Amino acid sequence: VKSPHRVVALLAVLSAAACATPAEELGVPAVIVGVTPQGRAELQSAVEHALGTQPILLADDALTHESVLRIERVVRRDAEGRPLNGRDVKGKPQEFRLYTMNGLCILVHVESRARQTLHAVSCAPAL
Amino acid sequence: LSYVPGQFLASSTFANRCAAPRSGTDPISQQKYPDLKGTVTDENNFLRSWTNELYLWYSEVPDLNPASYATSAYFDLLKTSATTPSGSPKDKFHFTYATSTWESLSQSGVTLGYGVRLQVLHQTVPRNVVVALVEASASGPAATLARGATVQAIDGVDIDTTDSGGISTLNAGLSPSSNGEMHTFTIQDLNATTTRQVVLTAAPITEDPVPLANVLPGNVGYILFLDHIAPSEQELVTAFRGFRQRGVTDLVLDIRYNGGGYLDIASEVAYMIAGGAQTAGRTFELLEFNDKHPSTDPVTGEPITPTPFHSTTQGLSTTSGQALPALNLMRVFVLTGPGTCSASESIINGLRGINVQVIQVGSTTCGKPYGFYPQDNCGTTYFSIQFRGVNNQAFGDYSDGFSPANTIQTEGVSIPGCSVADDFTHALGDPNEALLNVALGYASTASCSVPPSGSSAPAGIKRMLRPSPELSTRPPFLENRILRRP
Repeated sequence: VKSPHRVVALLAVLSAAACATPAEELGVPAVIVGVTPQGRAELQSAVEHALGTQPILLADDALTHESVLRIERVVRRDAEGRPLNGRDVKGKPQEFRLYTMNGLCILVHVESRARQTLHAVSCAPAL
Repeated sequence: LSYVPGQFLASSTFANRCAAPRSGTDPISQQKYPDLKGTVTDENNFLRSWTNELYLWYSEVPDLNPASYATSAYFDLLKTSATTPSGSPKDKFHFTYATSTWESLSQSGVTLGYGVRLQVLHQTVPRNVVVALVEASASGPAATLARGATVQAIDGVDIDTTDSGGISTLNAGLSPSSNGEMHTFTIQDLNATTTRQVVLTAAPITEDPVPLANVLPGNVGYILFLDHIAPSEQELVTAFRGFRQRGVTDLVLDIRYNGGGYLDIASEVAYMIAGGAQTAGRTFELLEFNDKHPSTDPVTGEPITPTPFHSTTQGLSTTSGQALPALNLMRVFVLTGPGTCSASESIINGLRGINVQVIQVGSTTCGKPYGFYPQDNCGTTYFSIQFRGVNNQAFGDYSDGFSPANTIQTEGVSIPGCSVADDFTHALGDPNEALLNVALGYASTASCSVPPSGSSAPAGIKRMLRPSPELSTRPPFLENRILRRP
């Protein structure tokens, strides 16, 4: 997931739509409350836009239990159910973090520090 | 650029020269596809040179004229034909995948499925497909299933059909490909004499990679570890911290269905079992490439350095750099089967490398001390073995797996322990489940006991401790085709 090409591409894609922001200006870690179809669609779109690919399979309860969302390659398996790449020596998931500040829900892509405000999502500080 | 036997130009000479170049932008890199107009022979030349540069056993590969083959057929031949001591192919892991599929992304731990892990114990007639476990996140009809139930039919097609269309129907039901897809399963529950129909709907399912962590009588910890995926890191730390707080003095690590994943997580598990005193300064696993690359990783360009026993979290689902809890054990019990593979086998091999006693209960593991860096060319991602992992004693020869010492017709590296068939008649973690029961008995008596009565396979289940060679060499790009004709 964390290939140099992808990092470069992400930075290129996100630079026009988002801005780097110091963590202290993002508010507090948050989780989504009251999941709605509109909120899910907006989250889906934000993550796919940030990573420049689609579709990305997300759980219906993504970001409702914790403030971190990790994205990686779909684990492909062989006929016996074993992962094809059973000895992954370099990979690491990409992280998104949800924050709330002044009533806004802000999704941050950690690697690029790019952020996007989710207007259709309701969130609350994570416990 | 005509073919000269024994002479190999750099693979970069032929890279991205495609018989059918892709056009437009790569959705992954957001860059224009690098493909240029080329020929089938160009693609074959790339594979020939790339294999000669990176394949672990490049000197055992036949040097064939790239102009004489279709690309898929040519790649299939670019591997060793040697066999292991058991007679199995030395290279069981040579395959391709469509790059667009291989590169697709998901939330960590989320897959499209029913929330039911089905084990195909016998792929040809008489077929046996059994429920191994049900995810806690499974809902609706899927949540009514339990370990030991067998699949008798899917969408009205008998599990033992010999019709190719029927087999396609079965495979479609076993591996749904789209969200909301529904299939009707005819199920015979454990100990039931009749069947019932269950309609399962495919949806994004969040897998719990560490669903059980208990302390059993005698201060024995039991942990069910299913996948080395990112979310497992935090769950493992929590589980081992609990074991330490509760004074666990023996551990049973259930990895019978764990096919591997992140090697860093395997290292963390090994550290949490063995502790700092036994692991300090020692190698968990060292990657060995072919003899052209003794000191530098040929893909990353970085120096080859050992993976240590990680004493801190690696940040896969935790804050990086936090001290790991440790049990400081001198021995560990591992419950295994043919699904125990790759990074899971690294835990066994890594611990044996520092003389922690590993006692194996179950059946022979899959035998995959190898790995690769998947390589795209012209829209196909190629998987060709490039490295082998060895432990602190430079041992990594377990291509036939690890086998408990009393296994009849031992195929793999024999290690202390007991051969026991998987027991679908008890829940995982139940002290009466055959593998766990025998492990607990061995902890007390240092001998292999007979599992409790009733721990036989469900009716109709034919025990297959290892997949047949044909099955294990199946090209994984055909992963949806789980069942085969007789």
